[in-house]
Amino acid sequence: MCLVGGASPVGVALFAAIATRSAPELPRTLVELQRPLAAAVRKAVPAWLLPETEDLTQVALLRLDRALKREPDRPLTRAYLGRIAYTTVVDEIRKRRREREHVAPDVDSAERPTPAPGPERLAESRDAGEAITACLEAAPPRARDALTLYLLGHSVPEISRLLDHTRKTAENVVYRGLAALRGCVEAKGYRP
Amino acid sequence: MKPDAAEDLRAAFSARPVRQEVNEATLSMVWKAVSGSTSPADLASVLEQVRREPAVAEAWRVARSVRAELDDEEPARVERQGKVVLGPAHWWRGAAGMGIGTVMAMAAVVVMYVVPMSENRGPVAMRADVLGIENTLVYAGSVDRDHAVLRWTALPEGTVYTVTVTTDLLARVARGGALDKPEWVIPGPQLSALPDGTVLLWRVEATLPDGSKHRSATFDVVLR
Repeated sequence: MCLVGGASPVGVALFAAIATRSAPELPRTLVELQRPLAAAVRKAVPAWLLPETEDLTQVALLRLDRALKREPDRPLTRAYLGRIAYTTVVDEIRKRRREREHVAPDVDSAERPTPAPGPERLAESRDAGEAITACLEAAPPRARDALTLYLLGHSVPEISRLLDHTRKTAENVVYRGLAALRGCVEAKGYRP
Repeated sequence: MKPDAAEDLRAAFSARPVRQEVNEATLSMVWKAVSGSTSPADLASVLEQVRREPAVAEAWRVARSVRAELDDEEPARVERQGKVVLGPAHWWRGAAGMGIGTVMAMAAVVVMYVVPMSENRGPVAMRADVLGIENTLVYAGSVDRDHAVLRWTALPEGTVYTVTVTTDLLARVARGGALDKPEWVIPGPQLSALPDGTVLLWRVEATLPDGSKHRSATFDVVLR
């Protein structure tokens, strides 16, 4: 009989990579690695990728495995796990985008419900997005960076930390900058 | 104007179409910038790229989400444990010095099948269990390239299985579909280009008679 389809979870290589490190460096169990990695992936994926969270977590585990093989002495920190999750999700987004570019629209797609916003609205948003970019480029440097961070989703406290401003300064820059930005965008004929 | 009133601006900024994908160096810079570990000049440079290229902005958003998740957790490094638990690949390395007969005999004794699903657990719980229980890592087997058999636990009569095999770099090797038995032989030609020692990853998706689908964890096996 030719055996074998031996079965062991994918984490085995990862586990082994960890287990073969010198004793004081030996880290945690797989479950301890998997949990924060899964949480980071779940947090990072855009809504349209949510159903793939589990698969992406597995891919992230494999990447971690390979990274540990390359650099067995690398300290394992949450930040490092986060970086693995980050690159995994960005790569998946890029891959999906490439696939979309190469797939012809299918016949059924016309019958499927279109998620809001509709194509026209989306096009308007994109145009408005370009107008926002142009307005940002014309803004004073301090406001430009603060507004860019705000538009990326950061809160005022985060902006103050990243730009090394006081909270009050960041608040002023963002508040005033947003008013000016909206005025600039609308002057270009767009209403986001 | 309150910042909260600017969600429309945020939405429009994120709707900009991607023109050029981000390269690895930029991805790395974005991560550092979001983590607050860049100089002001580098941060300004990354933000400039964010404005210029929507893909960089997208990467930033992903990085920010991850950082937010990490910041919610305790900031300290993950604690390390002194306890040594040797994984199966370690066993395999130890077995490398043995004769192949010994290794195969060991393999025959400890062959482990796909973890069966219990009645009250869905596929998510199944996968989580497999990944989470360290003591399940008891065996790293090999397959003979001339007859590479994969076997797993049978599910109820009428279940149809699909098996996907990749390398550990996730390159597709082979796929077997519409299988009515819990085993599959990877076609030899699909393995011919792979050197001995290649780690193959494989996973089973089972479609039960009631139409529900269940995935196994991903397993690995060494090609010999």
